[in-house]
Amino acid sequence: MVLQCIFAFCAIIGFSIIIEAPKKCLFVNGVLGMLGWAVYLLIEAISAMLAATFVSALVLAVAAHILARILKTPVTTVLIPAILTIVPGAGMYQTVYYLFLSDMEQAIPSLVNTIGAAGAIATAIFIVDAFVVVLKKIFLYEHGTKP
Amino acid sequence: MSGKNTMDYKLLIDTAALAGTIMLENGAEIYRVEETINYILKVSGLKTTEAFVVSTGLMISLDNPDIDALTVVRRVNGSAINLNVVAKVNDISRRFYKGQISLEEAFYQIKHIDRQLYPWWLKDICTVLVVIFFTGMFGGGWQDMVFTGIVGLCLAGWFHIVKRIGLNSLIRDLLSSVLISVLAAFLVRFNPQLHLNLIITGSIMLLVPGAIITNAIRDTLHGDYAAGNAKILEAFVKAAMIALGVYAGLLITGGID
Repeated sequence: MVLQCIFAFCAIIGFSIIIEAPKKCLFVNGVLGMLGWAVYLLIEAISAMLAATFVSALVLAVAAHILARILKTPVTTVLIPAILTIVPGAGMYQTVYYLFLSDMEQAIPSLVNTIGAAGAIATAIFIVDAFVVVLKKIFLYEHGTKP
Repeated sequence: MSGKNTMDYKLLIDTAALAGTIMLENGAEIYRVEETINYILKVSGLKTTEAFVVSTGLMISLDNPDIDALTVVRRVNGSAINLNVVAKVNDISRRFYKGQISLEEAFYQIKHIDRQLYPWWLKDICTVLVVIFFTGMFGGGWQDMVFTGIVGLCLAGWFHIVKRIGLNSLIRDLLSSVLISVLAAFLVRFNPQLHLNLIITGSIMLLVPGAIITNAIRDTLHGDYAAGNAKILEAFVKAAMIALGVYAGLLITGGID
């Protein structure tokens, strides 16, 4: 499992280079990718795949917001590469594979799982973003300054 | 900030339009584009500064009782993801807003932004490495990883061909995933100890629309429903294309048996 997380680290750094993330973000993105995958594997071992995706996305979104502010870079430059590990590519493949075998009893659940995973990621990012907006408003209200 | 009479409004609105166009082309969220344009326009101190951005274009207006209204409309094509450019333009606009650089400097810097942070060969190497490591991440052994590297190498070459002939991005995804699954099926045929599912899953991670999903959610949250909807649709269509491509690839190689 440790090895898998290290692979996640390398893969996300490579992907960050492909989509031209700024140089100062590369290492952070790798660490976040590793963190997200570690959380995913841990939760999946004790619970279900959807729960793992949701919690992992939640952790990643919070970490991405904090780190982006420390690095003074737009949140997307950190969030987009980091979230990639938990995008349900495997679920997509499984769905297609079962369809290929005309095994509908397996295909439908994996389709539902894939869409569910995408929804879980969406919900997690949504919740964290909404909180950040509220926090920003409170912060600005206290300080009475424009951003 | 310079006085009202000395500011070149034409250059200001051009700078804002250029910044917005570049950000939109390179995969920034809608609200970030509007925010950036507004930051730049607010420096003028004029009464009305408006930015209206959708995923395929932008409209900017600058108005005050004592001048004729200035309006710029730009159609924006294509959406690559280039996070460095987004971060850079974002940064330049903030520094301009704080008065650290002049309007001419800001325009020059945005105009001459370096779009290629990493050389093409590094990106090709990364394409190969990414698919190898994704296969490892999903639990593949060293043999799986090595053979995924072959698929990755072919993909890197294929992406160059695609860029040369200017293929539609959906067709590109479709053909790429056909290529992936055909190659993977062949490799597995000659090396039965490999895992077909791991090789294919690791390789299609390069194509999955993770960035689009992320942007779609953030656009929707900020009330840009039109852009959010369009991007969600884009993500779904891309995912469907990839799935279809893998399916077609499996059909082709399954039929050879």
